[in-house]
Amino acid sequence: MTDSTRNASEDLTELVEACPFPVVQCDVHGRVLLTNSAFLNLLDILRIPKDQAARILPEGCIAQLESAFQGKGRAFDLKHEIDGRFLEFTFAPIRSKKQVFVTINDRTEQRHTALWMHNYARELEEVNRQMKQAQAHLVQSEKMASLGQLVAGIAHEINTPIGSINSNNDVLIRSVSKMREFFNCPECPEEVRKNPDVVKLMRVLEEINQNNRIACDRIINIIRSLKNFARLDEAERRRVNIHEGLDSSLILVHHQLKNRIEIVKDYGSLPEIECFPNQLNQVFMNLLVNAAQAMPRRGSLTIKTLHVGSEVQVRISDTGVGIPRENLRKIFDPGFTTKGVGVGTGLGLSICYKIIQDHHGRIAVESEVGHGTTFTVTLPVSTSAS
Amino acid sequence: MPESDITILLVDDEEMVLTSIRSFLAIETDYRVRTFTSPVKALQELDHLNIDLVISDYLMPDMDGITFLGKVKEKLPQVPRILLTGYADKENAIKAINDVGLYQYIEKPWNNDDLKLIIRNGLEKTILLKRLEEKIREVERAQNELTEVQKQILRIFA
Repeated sequence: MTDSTRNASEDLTELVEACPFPVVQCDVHGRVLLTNSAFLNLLDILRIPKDQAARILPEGCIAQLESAFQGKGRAFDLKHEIDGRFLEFTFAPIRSKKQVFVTINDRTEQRHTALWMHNYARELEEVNRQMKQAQAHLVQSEKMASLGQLVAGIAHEINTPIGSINSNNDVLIRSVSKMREFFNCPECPEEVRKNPDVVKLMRVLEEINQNNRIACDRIINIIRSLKNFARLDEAERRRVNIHEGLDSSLILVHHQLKNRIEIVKDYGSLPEIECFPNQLNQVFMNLLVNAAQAMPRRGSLTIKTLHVGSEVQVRISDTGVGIPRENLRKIFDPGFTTKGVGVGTGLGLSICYKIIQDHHGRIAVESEVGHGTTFTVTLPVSTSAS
Repeated sequence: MPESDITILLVDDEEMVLTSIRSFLAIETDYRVRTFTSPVKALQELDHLNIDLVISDYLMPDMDGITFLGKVKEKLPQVPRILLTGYADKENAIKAINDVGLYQYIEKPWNNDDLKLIIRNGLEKTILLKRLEEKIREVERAQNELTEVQKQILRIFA
């Protein structure tokens, strides 16, 4: 060995030693020729004995090295995981000597950071989704609360005049009936009783009064349902019979159903359940409206209730268009709608979901395209027991 | 007691309600009906109205129905008091039943047959109470007389 070559070899050894990252020089059989202390440290970390240093090399690197020698001898990278550490190897073949210069990059920290970032991003996404849902829920409940107040206010204002009209109509019916008695008594002259104008007048009066009575009954029923639906006096948790809520909601969606959709009520015997009635009514209303909209022409709407153990179940089924399988998973997501702008906000079912969740209950959907959809709401009878 | 001897006091700030109930009672009963749109005015006249039964609305601008009926109770404890309420006031009304000793509350919109029945039952209660008072007074008088007789007898034999 000449001086100059020895110097070159010493220089190389020094250079390799000075490298801050692990470096190893091997021959084509994986025999180690030269290492640096960074490499030896790495062996220590991986608990690989120095004399078995070749174990650190990724599988298949020899074969790839062979082909590199046969080809242009280009450097190549390989990734390898040992003992939980992610290592990136760069192989620089030295064709003339049939040796290879390997530098190793320990990517474990980066890998962990990347993984953590990935999880964190997903967590953030989830939090963001929840926030969006909470916001939507808040906006909707705020809207419902002000709508409820408005509705209750209107119902209250209408109550007095309709009470008066209803009573007056009753007085009219009684008066006309007394007039009829008077006309029918023997003292009443024949020409009065049989006078066509009188006969017609009496008939019209009786008909109109009956008509008014039906109209009044309907208004009173609607006002009662509105009051019952909004239940502003019941913003607190209380025990109620959910059939009342279902019936009130049905009356309020009546205009969407009448003469078109057959309603089948299959009510079981239910205990009163502990809940926020105005919130539950909102859920029922939503499901009923959805059912009505799923049946653009004719169809039937079945409301079945049953008591199962410590829970009650409400099943609302329609014979409508059904929900395609790919949409079934998404229907409770906030913002998901198939109804188009101006028809649906995409908030209804996500809010139903939230309300039922708050009640420690469950909401599930089964659907078959072309046959119909069933929503099943399951609620605990008592929240404290669950 | 004939119906025509009975006076009912009706208070509601809505003239239309007064008219409706007055008209109904006019064709179905012979009760005399006095109506006021202001409970304060009604209280001022209460002493010389000789009232047998009071019906009052709940929400009124110058005095609420429960306060009004409470004041009526102070002056005329025997007179049945009936509260006419909307749905929204129902809870309050029920709470107040015990406070001011309501005889009944009627929800708006009311049913005339129910109204008539409640009035009749309320009056029956007053009439029965009045009769009971009379009987008690009679018995007391009889007992006093007896005590007097007993004393005289004792005095004679003493």
